[in-house]
Amino acid sequence: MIDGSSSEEAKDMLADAIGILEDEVEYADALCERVQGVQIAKDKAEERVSAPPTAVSGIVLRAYKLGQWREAGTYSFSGKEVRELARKIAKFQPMSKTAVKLQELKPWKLDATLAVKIMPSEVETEEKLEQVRRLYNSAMSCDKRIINTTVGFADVTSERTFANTEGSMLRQVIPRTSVFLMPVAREGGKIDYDYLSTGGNAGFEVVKDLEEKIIKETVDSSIGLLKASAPPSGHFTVILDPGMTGTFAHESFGHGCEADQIVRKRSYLVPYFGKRMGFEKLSICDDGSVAGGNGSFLFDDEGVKSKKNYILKNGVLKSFLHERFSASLMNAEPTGNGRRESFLRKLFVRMTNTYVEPSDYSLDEMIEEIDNGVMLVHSVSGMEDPLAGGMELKSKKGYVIERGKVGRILSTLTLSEKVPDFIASIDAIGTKDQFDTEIGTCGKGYEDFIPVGDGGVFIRGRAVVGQG
Amino acid sequence: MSEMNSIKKILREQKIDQWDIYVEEAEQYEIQLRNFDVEAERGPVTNSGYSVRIIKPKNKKIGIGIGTGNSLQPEHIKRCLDTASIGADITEFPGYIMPKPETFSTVKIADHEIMSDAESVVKDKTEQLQSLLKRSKTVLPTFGKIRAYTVSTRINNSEGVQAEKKETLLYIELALKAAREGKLAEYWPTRTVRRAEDLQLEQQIPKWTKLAEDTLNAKAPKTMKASVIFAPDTLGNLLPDTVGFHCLGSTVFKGVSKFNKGDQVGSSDLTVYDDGLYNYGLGSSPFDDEGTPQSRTVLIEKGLHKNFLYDAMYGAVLKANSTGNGQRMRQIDLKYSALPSLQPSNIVVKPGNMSLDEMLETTKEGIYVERFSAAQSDPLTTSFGSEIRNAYLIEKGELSTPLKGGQISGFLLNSQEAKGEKTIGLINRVSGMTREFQMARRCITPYIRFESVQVSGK
Repeated sequence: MIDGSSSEEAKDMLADAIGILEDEVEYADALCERVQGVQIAKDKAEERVSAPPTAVSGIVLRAYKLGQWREAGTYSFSGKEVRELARKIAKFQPMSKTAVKLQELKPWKLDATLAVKIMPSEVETEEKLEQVRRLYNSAMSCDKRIINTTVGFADVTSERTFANTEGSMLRQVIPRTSVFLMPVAREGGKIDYDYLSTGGNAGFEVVKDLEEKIIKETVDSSIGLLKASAPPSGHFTVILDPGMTGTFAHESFGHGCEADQIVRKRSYLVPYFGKRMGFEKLSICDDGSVAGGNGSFLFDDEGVKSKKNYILKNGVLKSFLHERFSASLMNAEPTGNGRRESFLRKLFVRMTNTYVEPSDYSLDEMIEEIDNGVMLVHSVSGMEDPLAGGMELKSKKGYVIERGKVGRILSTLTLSEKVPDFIASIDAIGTKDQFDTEIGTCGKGYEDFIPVGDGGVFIRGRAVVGQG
Repeated sequence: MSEMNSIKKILREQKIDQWDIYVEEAEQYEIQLRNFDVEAERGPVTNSGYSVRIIKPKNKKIGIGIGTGNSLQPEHIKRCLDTASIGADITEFPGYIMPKPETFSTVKIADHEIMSDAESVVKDKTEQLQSLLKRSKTVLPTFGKIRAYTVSTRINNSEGVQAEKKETLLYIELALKAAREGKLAEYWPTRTVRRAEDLQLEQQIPKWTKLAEDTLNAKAPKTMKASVIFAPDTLGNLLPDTVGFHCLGSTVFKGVSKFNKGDQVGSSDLTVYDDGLYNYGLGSSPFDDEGTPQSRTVLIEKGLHKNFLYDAMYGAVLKANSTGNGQRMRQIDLKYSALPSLQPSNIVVKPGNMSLDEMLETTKEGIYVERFSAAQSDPLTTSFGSEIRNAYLIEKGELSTPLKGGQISGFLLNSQEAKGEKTIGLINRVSGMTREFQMARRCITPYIRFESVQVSGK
């Protein structure tokens, strides 16, 4: 696998470190991550094959005393170095002035792999590159107006081993694979593009089974955007496609439900807890146990089992998402949302797969009832505002809706609104057959990027639209 | 140098002719705050690694492969070289000329204080931050983090390049909350600097707390076209991603650059450099990540496009000298694992003649934006749009009502519309630049006022 020790040696190394820490601190845990993978990016000039940015291997030790964490980490898989780090942090003097007793959890054992159809590690890099070339050639040959295409492929297999002073010893192996395709179209002086991004807890089949018709649809969408006009500016009735709905659920709503923001006194959602925010058909979940989800795992980075958590149920703000520290402070259960980017970064409350559950409106019904509105399609990004409940969502394309019909195509839109106002304005939620998910990378603010999924169905509300 | 020699020994044994080696050793310390309390102390967190690139000429093409490793055991080095060699066998690039030994310019990129004791710097800055924040009676921190890095890097290649540097970084992120009668407002700044003294907490904290307080009274703007003053922080991503992007030789080769040499691409008072030798700039270094000397390149002079940027690949392909812009674009303690790509170093906008006060006084009506939600532009189309987080209306030459919500949008560069009409980009609508300038990420820029900017609100 990677440079360093075997899985069993890793477990022994973590057990040694825990042995050094257990008599010195209230609680300690150790996480060893070993990652392998490949990233390929191709366009008309370059074929770049390298390690993915998330292929970061190392060990982090974490000790807890009187309300404060003390961490140290190393890239080295030397048992001697890890023991030295454990001794270094074992005697730490907390600077915290708030003593909080960490809740105890029952120890458990696990050694499992989230299986995929074709393990990426069993496929040669050359075969992966050949598939990337297939996608590139296919997109480039569709239409003369395609002047360049960027194809990205990445597979990352993460093996995380966890041990703590409560006696847990866990190991999970999670392969994730993703494909990105961006055909760039030009006609006259106008350039635009759409893109395809797919994958999750999956293997090489993500690229191998990608059908030509999907590539053609992405090319057609890029070419279609050459006719797009700039979006109108102002406050409109809007329809969000399932991807945009997912970005709303995650970025705009979910970040305010992360309980570390509650204990920091940094969430606009505190006054809404237990209260109705939206109509009764609106439910939003975060679920780290979804099969195939990009944000799925068996246990989080502090050894808590993943599960489905309703944050908004039938329009009512039902619960927040927790790691162990926030749960201890708020006398709640950990929800399996303690995640870290790698051993180089701190653990925070993080989402997993976040989505709006389906209801009963068809897309046609939503459109027919709009006199003057905008539909936003294909999410690009979103930005959270956990304290003040602002919202920023960007979509790659959209459509004007006039007198109940879909009108001209629009390129690159931004949607903004106060989140409680937007939630209160939602009056239509799509049906189960519309349900779709997207893969993404989530930052906690401006850094700490982790793999997540989001999704949902078409929803209708009111917000400010502008160019993106 | 032991790791260099260990890797070179195996390269010689395997008779590999063209290669470069990048070795990095990084260490970080960090303190994270929850309100005024320390939630976590982290460090040392060390990451050291190396990568080897192998270059193999092919029929009219070049193969380039990279392997990375953390261990110097011979079998692990061999595995790294195997990965690089396979990569070189299977990939195709249009060209590459390995950098040759040259003299490097001197540029300051390290803080002695951080280099000698990063842990103490982080603790001292945290105490100073806590103390300064306690002076405010109305604004509280919700969270904060201060993190220091020390990094040493060495590059060797088969042409004889031997480059070595030590650098430091200090990062602060802070969320400041103002609350009154159920209303909540925030100012959420981030800053990365090379030197501890450049954090300037004494000056910054009063300014940041005032922004949080003022935002309590904020309203959303109306939909309108307006004069808008962009603070340096808002331009820190927008300019490198647009002006910088379209000055890359790679965008010329791929047929997507909006610039041609000699064209009028911006307002006549706009001059922009790529300056890889700017002292304490975040993109500064004596040499780029391929071992080519970094330099200062005029990109736009008085609105006219002057030069493109090159790395070793696009310099070879487009028959130009590398300007030292081959960058490994990953977080600083993971750069060794990335392939270099052509990127701007520091985008520097030449300051103007007026003060910020004079700029405000000469703005009858408009908007001053201190911070967007996430000011990012699409590099290809240069379209941008972002929610206003901290801004003010300007009325009769003075800052008046604070603004939050709504959006500001436009194209940074001239753009073609679907019906053949042209949209004039923001950099062609510059009506003023200040004497004052700041470093915002990899951009050093004055405050810039743009005319007729689209504002969207209720």
